[in-house]
Amino acid sequence: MANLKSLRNRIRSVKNTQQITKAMKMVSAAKLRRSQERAQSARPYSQHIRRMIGTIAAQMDPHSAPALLAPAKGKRVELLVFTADRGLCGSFNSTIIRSVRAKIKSLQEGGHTVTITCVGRKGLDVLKRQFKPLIRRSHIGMARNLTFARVDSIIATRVLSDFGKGEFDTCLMVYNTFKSALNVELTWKQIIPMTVDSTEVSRGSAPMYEPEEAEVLTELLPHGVSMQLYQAMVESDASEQGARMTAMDNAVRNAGDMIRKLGIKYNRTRQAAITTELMEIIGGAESLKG
Amino acid sequence: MMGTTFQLDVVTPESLLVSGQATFITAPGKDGRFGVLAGHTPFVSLLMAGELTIVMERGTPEQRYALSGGFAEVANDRVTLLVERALEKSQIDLNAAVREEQEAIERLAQLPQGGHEALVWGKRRDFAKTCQQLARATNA
Repeated sequence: MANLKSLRNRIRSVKNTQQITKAMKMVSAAKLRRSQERAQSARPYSQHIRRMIGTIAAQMDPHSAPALLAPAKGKRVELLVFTADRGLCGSFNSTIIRSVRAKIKSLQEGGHTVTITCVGRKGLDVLKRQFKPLIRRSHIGMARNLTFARVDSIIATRVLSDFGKGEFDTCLMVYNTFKSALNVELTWKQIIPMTVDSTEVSRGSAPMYEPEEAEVLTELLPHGVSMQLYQAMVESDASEQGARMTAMDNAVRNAGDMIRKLGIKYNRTRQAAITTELMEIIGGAESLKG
Repeated sequence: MMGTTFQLDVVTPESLLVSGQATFITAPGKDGRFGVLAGHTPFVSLLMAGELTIVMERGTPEQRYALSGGFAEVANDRVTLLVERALEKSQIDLNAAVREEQEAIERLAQLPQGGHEALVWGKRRDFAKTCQQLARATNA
């Protein structure tokens, strides 16, 4: 039977852990509010830009389309994997990684060449064990000080210049879309060549372009790619905070259960010890009498 | 009858800056400044760094913003400005803008011409310059 001292120590250590998880939960809750706001305020912009691109693309001859809109020519696929820089956020990172593994397998079976760019340390740590030679780049610490300008100048620049040099033909990204603190949705999206959703096209007479259409497109398309990357980044960041908050909330509750159980055990053990002592005293007294 | 106002949205990746009925705006197009009133013919334009002025309701004073480059879409009495960054005149921090311009100029000196990265820093330099001009301008 566990002795009293070691039980007391366990209870104390579980209580300490609970304190820490509680603090982490509060921190994520505060961060979540900011990240959520950022993710939601990015949505109008990315909707508008997709609609603009869609409208232009719909009126264009696919054969003369610029490279970012033209159908992919080869079988080289770049995967952009958005994970968190830190753990302790439940299944947030592992669902992404599992899905990436499956994707790599099915792409390779289909005869594609795969390369990976990791955004976030956790994804890199796990993927480099299995797919080291496939990893092209990694970006760590993006979630700190997350602005469009940084995503544009750090991640998007590399993706666009690699594509410009002809290092891959298709670029897919995977990230968690924020739905609510309890609910995130794993999202795969093709960003190069850009896909146009026909429901997002605004109909009507063809607009005039100023300057010419081609020049507008050369600015608009890379910008559209940057914006999609930014959107993925902020969605992923908000989801991460939500997932961590939920995970920490569970941890606090589990610690509570454990403390309660240990408390009961402690009291029983104490009671048993007292009973034994009493028995000994009584036994001693009896033997003196006799 | 044609309305005299149109729906104006000024959107940046970080926020929906302006959304409401406007009467008149002028914006820095790539081929020169342009103005939009209700009933304008549909067009899409590139925007350069520069000043955006908005008159929401007729007779009210105009609002002035510094814009970085972006895109303008005018369609069916709806004007959407997608800009990377925008700041209202009163929100501009002159010192920060001076510092940013300096940093961008230094970065640009080290970068090869024509790459996407040079483009990004070029835009930051232009935006910082616009902010300074607007912050120093007296209210006309």
